[in-house]
Amino acid sequence: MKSKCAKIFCVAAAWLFCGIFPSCGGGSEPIVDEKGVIIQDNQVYYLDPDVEGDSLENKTRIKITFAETGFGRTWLENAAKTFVYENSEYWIYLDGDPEVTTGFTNKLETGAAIADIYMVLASNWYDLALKGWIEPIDDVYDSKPDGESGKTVREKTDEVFLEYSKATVRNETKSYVLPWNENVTGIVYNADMFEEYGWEIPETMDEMVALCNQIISDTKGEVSPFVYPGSVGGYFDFLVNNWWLQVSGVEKVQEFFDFGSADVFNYRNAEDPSYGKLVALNQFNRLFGNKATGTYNGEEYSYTLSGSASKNHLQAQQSFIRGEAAMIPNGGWMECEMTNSLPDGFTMRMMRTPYIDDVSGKDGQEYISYNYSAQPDYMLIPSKANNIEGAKKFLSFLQRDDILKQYTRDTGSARPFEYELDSSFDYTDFTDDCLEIWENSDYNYFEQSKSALWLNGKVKLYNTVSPFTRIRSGEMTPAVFCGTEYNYVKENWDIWLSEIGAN
Amino acid sequence: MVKKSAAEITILWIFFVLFVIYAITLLFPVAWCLNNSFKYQKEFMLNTWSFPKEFTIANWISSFEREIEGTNLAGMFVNSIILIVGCSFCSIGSSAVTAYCLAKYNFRGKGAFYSLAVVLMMIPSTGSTAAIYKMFFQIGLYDTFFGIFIMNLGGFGSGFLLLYGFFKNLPWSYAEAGFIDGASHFRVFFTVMLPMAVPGIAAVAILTCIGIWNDYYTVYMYAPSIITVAYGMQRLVAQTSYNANYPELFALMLLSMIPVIVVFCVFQKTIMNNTAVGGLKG
Amino acid sequence: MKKIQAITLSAKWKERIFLLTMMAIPVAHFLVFFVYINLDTVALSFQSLDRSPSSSGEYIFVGWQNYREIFRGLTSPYSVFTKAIRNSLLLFALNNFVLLPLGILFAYLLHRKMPLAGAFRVIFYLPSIVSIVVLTMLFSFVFDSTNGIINPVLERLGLGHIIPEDGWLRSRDTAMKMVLLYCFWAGIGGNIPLLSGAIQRIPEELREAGRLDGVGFFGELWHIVIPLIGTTVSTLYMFGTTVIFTIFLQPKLLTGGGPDGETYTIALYIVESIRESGELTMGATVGILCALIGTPIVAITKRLLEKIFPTYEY
Repeated sequence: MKSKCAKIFCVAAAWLFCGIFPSCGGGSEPIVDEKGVIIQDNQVYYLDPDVEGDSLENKTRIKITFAETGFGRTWLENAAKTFVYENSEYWIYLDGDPEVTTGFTNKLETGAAIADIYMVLASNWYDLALKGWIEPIDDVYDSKPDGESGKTVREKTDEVFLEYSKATVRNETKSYVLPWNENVTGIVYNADMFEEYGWEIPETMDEMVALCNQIISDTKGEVSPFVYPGSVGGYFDFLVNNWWLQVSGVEKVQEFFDFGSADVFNYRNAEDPSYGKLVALNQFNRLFGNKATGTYNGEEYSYTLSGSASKNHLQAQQSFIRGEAAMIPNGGWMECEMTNSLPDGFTMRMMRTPYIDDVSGKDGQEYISYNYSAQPDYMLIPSKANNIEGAKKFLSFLQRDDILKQYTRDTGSARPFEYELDSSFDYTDFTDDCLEIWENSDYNYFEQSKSALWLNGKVKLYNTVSPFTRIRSGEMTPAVFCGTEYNYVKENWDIWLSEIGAN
Repeated sequence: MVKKSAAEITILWIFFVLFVIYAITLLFPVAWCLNNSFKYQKEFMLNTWSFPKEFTIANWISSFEREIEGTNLAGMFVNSIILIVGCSFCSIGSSAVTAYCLAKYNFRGKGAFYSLAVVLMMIPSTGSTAAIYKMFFQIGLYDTFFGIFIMNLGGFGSGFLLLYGFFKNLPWSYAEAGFIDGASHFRVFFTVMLPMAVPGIAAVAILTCIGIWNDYYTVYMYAPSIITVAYGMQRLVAQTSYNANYPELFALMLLSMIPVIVVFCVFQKTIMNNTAVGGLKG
Repeated sequence: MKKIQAITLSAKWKERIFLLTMMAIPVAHFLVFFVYINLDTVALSFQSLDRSPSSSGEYIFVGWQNYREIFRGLTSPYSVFTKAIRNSLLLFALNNFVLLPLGILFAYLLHRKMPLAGAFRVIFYLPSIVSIVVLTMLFSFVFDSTNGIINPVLERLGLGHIIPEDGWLRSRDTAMKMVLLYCFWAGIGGNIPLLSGAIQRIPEELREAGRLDGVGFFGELWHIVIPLIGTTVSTLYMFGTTVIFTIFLQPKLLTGGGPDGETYTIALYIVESIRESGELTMGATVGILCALIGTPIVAITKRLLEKIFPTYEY
């Protein structure tokens, strides 16, 4: 017994020793840039030579906890460096956490180890504002980051996002969040493969279907046209919502999301808000339904890589990188996200969601182009933060023209504010594609709703079942789904209203 | 000793083969992780099955430095150990006390207590998550070690049932001898009966510790700043789905498994010999 | 006369004081964590978060609304609740009627001088000590169509046609089966240490007597071993019954609740409703209903078990 205990003790001790020793090194070396700004262990600060005895202790801290996911941290480091150089009374602590979105609400509630700014991924913040956990930032919106002669942040903000930032609490409407990013969504494709086989980028849905057939025949059924991360969910929205917008236009789609009555789910006539949803689902059926197949040598091959529905992010991207599929519906963050895992020389590019062929254009233009940007990631200041003043200053600073340009250089993506892109910068082809879509789309849109039914989770984008699984398996046609959904919503509308009317 | 019959030997060999197959399916993922932990991330993306073309131990080295909210792997171990020591102390202390009292003493309502213990275990606690969360937050126990310890002070759980049987089997004569010597009930318990119960308590302790070691949900709900090994692994897996650094995750996973396996191997016999499960009649 | 009485009294009192002090903490814990918490949960089940424009983010009393919503959910054809109940019962059946008997069989086999018994015991217990998060992640990799080993093997065996188009974990037909498969694969070894311990304590003489009577392998198992470890078996059976209301991590991590709620369980429903609605009240309501339904079930099971497995002294 004794020798056993001794054995374990030795193992455990050696173990902990190996573990603690490297980490007891204290920390990493400071990195100093040409202006003298120091980055060390997540701390960003500048010791001003003009200030006598300037040290870290004299400065006020701004702690920023941000979702360190697709876009990484370089953009924030660069912004922080410039900020502390110009405002050396502050120093910034950068806390990167990919999972911040799930955990930060607890921090807001308890105020324990709380940051001054949270930058999180798309999620419902309305409840947080209700409970008084977010600091209203109308003053940030009213500030002028470009100097007295410049515009206010409010004037620079895209209208849709400005509307999104507001919430009505205790009968007062204020802005509570700042949008982080305006996403570009579409279809990412394997540029090398397209070049090798001479495939052309399809502009319309008919062309896309033809391309899928061509992919199957050219590669002898070895390569699937599409793969997607099924277990993550939401990826089909990039395509379907875009098609919906093409048919119904921004106003009708927004009418749907205002949920004025159950009739927004009516789909039978062209003027009905959900008509576009039906058409969009029909297009979905063409590419992903159970009859979406091409033939080669007498065999039928599906347009979609087998097993896609069970794949997570990584597995879908792995399949894409290995050339098992030619295209993957995704967003502008994909290249940045995959920086460390892309094999050398792999080129990915982004194409627009194809246009539906018989959809009408405007003013003689062939098609109206939309970019469905998906629910935005956002930034907020907790009401229990320690340094609200500094936080507001930093948030305002982020919308300065040069900082916005730097953001796009660093991430290959854009923010929903008015600014000019840096045209001289050498972006990757992928980024060029994304920025082109962003700049040249007639509308950038994402869904948002202040309807109580939506906020209380009573009514959702799709009700009853998920149309995608049913349409894919062939169990339901889009029309059947829309009909079922419409009936279901009509039946339950008043019940839902009474359930929340009690509030 | 009666010799085994031929039929019995055949049965044993059939099952031996089945066991080997099953063992392989269990060990295989471990080997797979080990193999992949020596690959660079880019290579892993392309190929998850063969041996690494470029062998590297970079992942193993960086896994020591990997941090979740400022806690690295060693820190996670420390947190986990603090948690299991504190929680098992509270849990076993409470269970032992309750088991002892109910096994050895007779008092009114004793039967009720016993039935209560059995029933209590069965009522799902998932539904009370909300209320516990609310209460913790109100008394300021949220996100503290102490809060989790207190949660484990319940004397009517599975530990209780296991120890009840054990205590029942301990002969009362030692206690009687103690009483004759003039010792109080407290003395008898702490100096006579408890030491005799050490093997049983040790076995229950180990089982409890293993349970708490693996429990990430409690920490996730009630003390998310305390990064234990289980909770840290969950966070790491979630993080890895974004940065795709699976090889490093595998290295971390293997590192976190080793001590537990060692402990289990060593204490296997103790667990098996000393867990007598009491009856359900009360 | 009086002196003896006094001593007797104080001895009784000493005993009482001892019992009271010792039981103080467990009883206090019970009162707080069971009585108070459950009362609070009941209270919460009658409340909901106020989301009206004039709200200040508090919970307000809404009467039976939450309960009505649950019952409507039960009858609605699109609710996941019925599936949750079905799946919880499936997992319970797997646990108690497949895994437990297998555990007994395996523990017995290992006891019967199976070669490499010690190694097997450790290996079989591995899934119980490795983080479930990691295990489920590995499981999903193995079944992935690109990365996994299962699909190529099936195709080699000529069984390629059974591979579901949507992948194993998200296909409506196979999702729940995969959850069951995972629980089976990871759960066999969980009870073996306890069962091994119980089997060990059976006196050798009883088994020899049986063998002399010529019972054979399975006869010995059925007639001698199982009844004598009966108390252990019934306790493990009771532990397994709690699975109905508490299991949720496996389906959550493997399938996230499955395509359209195929793999939901009761506990997963509670957890997800807290997460989705951001408020705690629906979870509390379901919890109360579970407690109300579960307690009689458990009590009845306990009675039945006592009949089947009486305690033997040896």
